[in-house]
Amino acid sequence: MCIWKRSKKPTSSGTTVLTVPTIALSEFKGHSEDPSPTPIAQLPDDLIGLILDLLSSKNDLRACSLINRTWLPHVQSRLFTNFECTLHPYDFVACPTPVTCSRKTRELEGIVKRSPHIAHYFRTLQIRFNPNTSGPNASLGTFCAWDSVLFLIPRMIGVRDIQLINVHPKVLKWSSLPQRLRETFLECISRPSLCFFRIERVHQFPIDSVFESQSLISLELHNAGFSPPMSRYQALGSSPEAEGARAESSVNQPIFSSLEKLSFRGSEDGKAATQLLNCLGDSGSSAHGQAFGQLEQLSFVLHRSEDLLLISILRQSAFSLKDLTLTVDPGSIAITSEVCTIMQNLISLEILRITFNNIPDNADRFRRDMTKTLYFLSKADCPLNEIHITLQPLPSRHLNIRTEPWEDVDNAMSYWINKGTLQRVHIGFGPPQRTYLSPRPMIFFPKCLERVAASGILNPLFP
Amino acid sequence: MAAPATQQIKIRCNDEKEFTVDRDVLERSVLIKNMLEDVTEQQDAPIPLPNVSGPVMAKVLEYCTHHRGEPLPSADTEQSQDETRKRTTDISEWDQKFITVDQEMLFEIILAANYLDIKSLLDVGCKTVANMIKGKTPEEIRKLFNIVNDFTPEEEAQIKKENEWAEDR
Repeated sequence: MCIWKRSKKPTSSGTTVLTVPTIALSEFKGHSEDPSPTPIAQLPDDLIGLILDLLSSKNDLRACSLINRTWLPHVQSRLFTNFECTLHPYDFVACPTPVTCSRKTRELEGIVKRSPHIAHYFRTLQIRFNPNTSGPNASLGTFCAWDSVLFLIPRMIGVRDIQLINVHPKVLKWSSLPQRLRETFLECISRPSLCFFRIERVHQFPIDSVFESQSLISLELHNAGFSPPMSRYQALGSSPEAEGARAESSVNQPIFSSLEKLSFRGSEDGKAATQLLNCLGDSGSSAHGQAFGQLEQLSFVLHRSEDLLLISILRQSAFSLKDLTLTVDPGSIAITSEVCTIMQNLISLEILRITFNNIPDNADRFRRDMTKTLYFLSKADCPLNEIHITLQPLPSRHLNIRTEPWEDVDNAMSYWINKGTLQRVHIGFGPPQRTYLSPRPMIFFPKCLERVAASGILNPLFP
Repeated sequence: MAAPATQQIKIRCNDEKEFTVDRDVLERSVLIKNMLEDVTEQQDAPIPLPNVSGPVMAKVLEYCTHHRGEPLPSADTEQSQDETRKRTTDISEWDQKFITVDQEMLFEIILAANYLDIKSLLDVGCKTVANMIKGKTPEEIRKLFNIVNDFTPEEEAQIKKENEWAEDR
């Protein structure tokens, strides 16, 4: 006799089941219980969440928040998800009265003071300094918005995604920020809830603050600069916590142990890669490769030759990646074997995306670079599934390459086709709103594209 | 030449109603698919589905029969599909006609789709409810779904004030 058992649970809807907080509303009296459950009242929390996720208008969400107590926390957790705060470093000089940009911050402070549970709903925190304001030397700590930010950040305990933008010498330096703000921010990014961290145009940032994060999945470093290691603990001063952190850091711990996605865009001064490598080198990990054990997606936008140093991260040990994105500028960086040796340490790679940016008028050089790239990539014995190549000429330029012979590129591409693992080839030109080139790829890569097209895997981005 | 016979599977609902259904139709349900995969020998005993009634199961089977043969979403594609579904509440013509039922049946179908793990049917049900909500005031939504307002006027005022902070997407 067979006894059927439910062997596996149904797939979760993917929606986090909310814990209804002890909200301020519970202090109110006089609400009546629903005597007979209606059909919609039978829905479990996660299904209510699924329905709410389908409402794209906040007006609809606001209406739902007023349905009843059951729906309220589900709705508010979707209304209060992102906190974007733009701070004007010198605003208090130019505009001593409260300014519009910080009004929302102060309003949120008021809301959280009345209903503390709302701070727990936030998942994304973005702090941006406005680069368009300038002024004389001033005491930043007097600006009223700091206090609101300092009040709010420690209470947003569920934040998973943190972005810091424009802490730049042209605006202000990291070290110029009030110490309390720096400490609060560093405490925030050291929480175990942190999954995504992005810094953009932030200079002198103590990147070692996130080295030992056990939860960080995605790290984006765009045009950033880094201060030497241990600055985090120096920033914390001589508190017992800082002493403890120092002692802990002396033990060799794997860094970025949970990181799955790293995106790096070189800085304008070309020093970011060197600084990052210095930080990694001094952090107790002798092999950078060990530091990125879980890495699946890697994206490099290489502006200057110094950025090529970052490749050394991948030279330390064998790597498996799912997705490698390289954006290179043939106008300022030679696409040489330096770049392509990444592939030699790759055990496996599924998707390769290369964007040739700002292609100059000199088609010969571009063709040479592209051929070299494809040649070196073909040296790696990776079972590639997809290749995406985007050609982006300089703005307002016509790239007159339609008559060039592209046999060498054809030959390099043919190698991949012969490998037999390719399932998709994407070839696109520039941003979609601009057409620089004839929308007929066969003109440029006649032989290889004929073969790709014949194999049915070509999916070019053409109208 | 006759096509090869499809395996027939018996199921029993919570009201003892039994159905005999082609295996490929039933396998639209990930729950039942997993149960069938875990059993290697041919079984005659019906699969008990204690959370689904006969009339609701009949509707679910109508849906599964219509969509039989369509590819099931893989784990890899589910995440990207989740993002897509958040942006659209469009329902195909057949599905729309299928889901035009009274509210009680609608929510029973949603619950059954969730229990049986039929993601596409769950989507259709949730989109239908979302479409019913769109553009309505709280009072209209309460009236539509027969929900009692358990807020005090003070609470409503406070919530409205808090919600003003969240701008339109």
